[in-house]
Amino acid sequence: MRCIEVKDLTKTFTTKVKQEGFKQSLKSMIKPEYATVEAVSNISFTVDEGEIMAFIGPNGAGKSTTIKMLTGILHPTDGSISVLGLDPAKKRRQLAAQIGTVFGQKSQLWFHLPPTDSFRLLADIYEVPKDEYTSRLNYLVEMFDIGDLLKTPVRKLSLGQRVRCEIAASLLHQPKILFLDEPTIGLDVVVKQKIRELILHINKEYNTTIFLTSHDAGDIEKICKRAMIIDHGKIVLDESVKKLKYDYLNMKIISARFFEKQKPVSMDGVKIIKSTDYAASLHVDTEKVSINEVISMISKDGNLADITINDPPMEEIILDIFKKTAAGAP
Amino acid sequence: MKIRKYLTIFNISLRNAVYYNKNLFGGVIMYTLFIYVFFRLWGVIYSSNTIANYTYSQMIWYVCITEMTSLTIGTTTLYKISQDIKNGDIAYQLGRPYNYLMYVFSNTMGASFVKFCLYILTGGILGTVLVGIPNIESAVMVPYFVLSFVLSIIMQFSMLMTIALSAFFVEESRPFFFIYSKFILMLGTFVPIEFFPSWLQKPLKYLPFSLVTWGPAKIFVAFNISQATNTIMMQTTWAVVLAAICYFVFKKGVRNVHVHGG
Amino acid sequence: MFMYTEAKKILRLFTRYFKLNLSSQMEYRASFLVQVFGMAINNATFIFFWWLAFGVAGEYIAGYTFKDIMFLWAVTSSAFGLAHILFYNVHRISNLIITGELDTFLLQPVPVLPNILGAGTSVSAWGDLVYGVVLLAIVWGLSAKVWIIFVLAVMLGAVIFTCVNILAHTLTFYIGNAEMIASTVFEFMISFSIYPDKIFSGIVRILIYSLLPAAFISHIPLRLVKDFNIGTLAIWLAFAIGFLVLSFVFFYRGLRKYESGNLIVTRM
Repeated sequence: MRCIEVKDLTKTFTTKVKQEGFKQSLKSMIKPEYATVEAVSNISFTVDEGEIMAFIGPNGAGKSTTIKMLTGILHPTDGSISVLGLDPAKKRRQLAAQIGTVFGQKSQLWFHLPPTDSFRLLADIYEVPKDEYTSRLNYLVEMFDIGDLLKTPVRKLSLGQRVRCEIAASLLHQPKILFLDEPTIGLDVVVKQKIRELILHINKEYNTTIFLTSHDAGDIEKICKRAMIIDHGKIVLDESVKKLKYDYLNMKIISARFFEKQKPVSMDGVKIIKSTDYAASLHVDTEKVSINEVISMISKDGNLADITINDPPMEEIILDIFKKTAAGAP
Repeated sequence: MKIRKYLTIFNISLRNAVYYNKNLFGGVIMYTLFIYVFFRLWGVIYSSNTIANYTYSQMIWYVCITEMTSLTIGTTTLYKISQDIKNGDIAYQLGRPYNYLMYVFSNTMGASFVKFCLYILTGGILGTVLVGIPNIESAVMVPYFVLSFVLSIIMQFSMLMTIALSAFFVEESRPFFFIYSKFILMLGTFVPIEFFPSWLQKPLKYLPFSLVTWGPAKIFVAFNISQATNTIMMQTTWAVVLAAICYFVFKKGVRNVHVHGG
Repeated sequence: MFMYTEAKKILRLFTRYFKLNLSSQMEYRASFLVQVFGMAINNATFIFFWWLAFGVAGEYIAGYTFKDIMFLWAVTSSAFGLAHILFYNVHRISNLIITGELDTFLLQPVPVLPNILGAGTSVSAWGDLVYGVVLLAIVWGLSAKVWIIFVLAVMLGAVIFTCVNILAHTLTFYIGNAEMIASTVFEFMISFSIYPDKIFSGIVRILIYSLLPAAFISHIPLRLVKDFNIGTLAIWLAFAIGFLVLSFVFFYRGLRKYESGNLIVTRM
């Protein structure tokens, strides 16, 4: 079943152009100049129930604008959106009751109070019946491991603890879709991993659709089945993460160590990432040069001590896609 | 060489106040509102020519001056010192190569100077527009007024700084700031002490709370050489005493910091 | 029917916020008492001023007796207190718009504006509320008529104070951060409420009966206390309701601008 359907969605902002300097400021007060910026232009996509979808792109690509339109905060300039069969711009409140949101730094929790108080308030706001609330809370407390945090004022929690409480808060009313805007931003590796596991868990347990934006490639690699890459308001790529990696498998990273001092490698299709006297890591484009050739090149005088071949990290794949689109290739 | 660093602090604080001028603007509006309301109110009350020897015009100028005098210092910058003491930031500032009290003084004066310029201008315009140019009989008044005003600023600073430093000894210094500013408003800012019942007038002329506002304002609106001399002598005495108290409290407080290990 | 369930929902929301706010304050019990006490002292300062003013002016100032002025003070103080106990968050509207924190409120399935208003309180407001009640009891005694009008005035006053703030903060949707304007407007409202209305003339007098309706906070209730008149009562009620509707309509119109996303002013 489809739960998000977006067709020809466009969002243009009109902004007053302000120039530096007093004279210019005065001029713009009398006769303001306007400029239109197309933040999202003509995008279409669908998300199925139970899917985990990542929405990736650099800052200012239109990620947040899109997610705000999907949740009804912003109204589209053109095109149509249907989320759970509702038009977010017209039925924001109805939709809100069925979705959960965790938006970056905008907290749902009260800063000076322990999370339980905020939870109870949210249960009221979302009209969760009392007994249902109790069992739901117990479940979330166990799953998110936040039992010890419930009575501590939010201001005393670490960022990781706060994010865990924040996500738990957004799940109290059993939303059908969970929107996450940069859920792992600013977290350390261990906590990031924990959050990712939790997101996966929610998805499996309740078949909750997950729509997340991120510019952390790890988020996509570790949790998403499908990724959509957006740049300059346009969808550049909409593919399964598996395929994405497969398509870019022709990129390999070779790391080698040597017995004796080596001369830096120079070959067509090989980029040096790092090179010292006794080690090198190389970026190999296998369309231009085969792995075999590279290995024989660096091992030819019997100098090779150790070698590892890896897929490039997701981050580089994405960067590569951006470079290609910027150059005009599809 | 030594005075130079304090001048630099003064200068930076001054420029800072000019750049972050949003609060200044709000202050000017509040000042204007205050003067306007009092202008209307006294306009209704003044049916006869004088009340307690103040004419209507003198009354309005009086309020213009007292408000300007108390607003020039304000409590916010000094309240921040209490917070520094509470959260321990003070330890860093004490470790720097300057006299801490002098540092705070120059810092406060920088911001106050900007406010002073703004309020004296606003007050001058308002007074002139509302009741006309003040009736000044002799130019001798000017040096007396300036001296009394400067002494008032030193007195206010010493009192506020002492209150701020009280954070070394008490949990919460805010109530003291609050009570202080209410004393300043009640005992001389709103109305001259000549309006008070006669049994209160005598002690009030010797209290620092009234001397800081009533002192310079009275010299400005109704100059009288013997009274002005008297006021300035009282103010000088108080300025010395209050500064000494402030210094004493500071020394004692700093010792507390070291005892607790900063 | 829809209106009824909606009203019930809002009322329940306010109740929940009220409890939450209260427990939030109890976290800082010492500062709670300090602030409540501080407000009482602050207000007492002005009694002293009026005592001096009547000392030099005689029995009447602009047609008001000392007792009358104290009524203005009691109503204004309590209305201000009630408004800040229940709807303190109104002062954050501009900030919410500018920082985009408004999103959080838009993403909850309850009416936006009530949701914003309830989500915050002021500690010292309890001092103002209690101060007004005590002052009235001391100066006016226990006349039923006075107290009925007082209670009504405090409730309507809280609504009007809040609506003035809504109107001013809504400007942020149109002209950018209006926090300064709002706080100035509010200061004006308070200042005009606590002085005899007759000392103001011209534009200011028109203002206190319209856009800065200080007269409807304190002066009209006083008129009703001294000389009850059903017509005046009707005008008073109608104005409060009308002002409430006006502020809500203005806010929701502004919100459309937010939803269109065309607020941002960029420097190029």
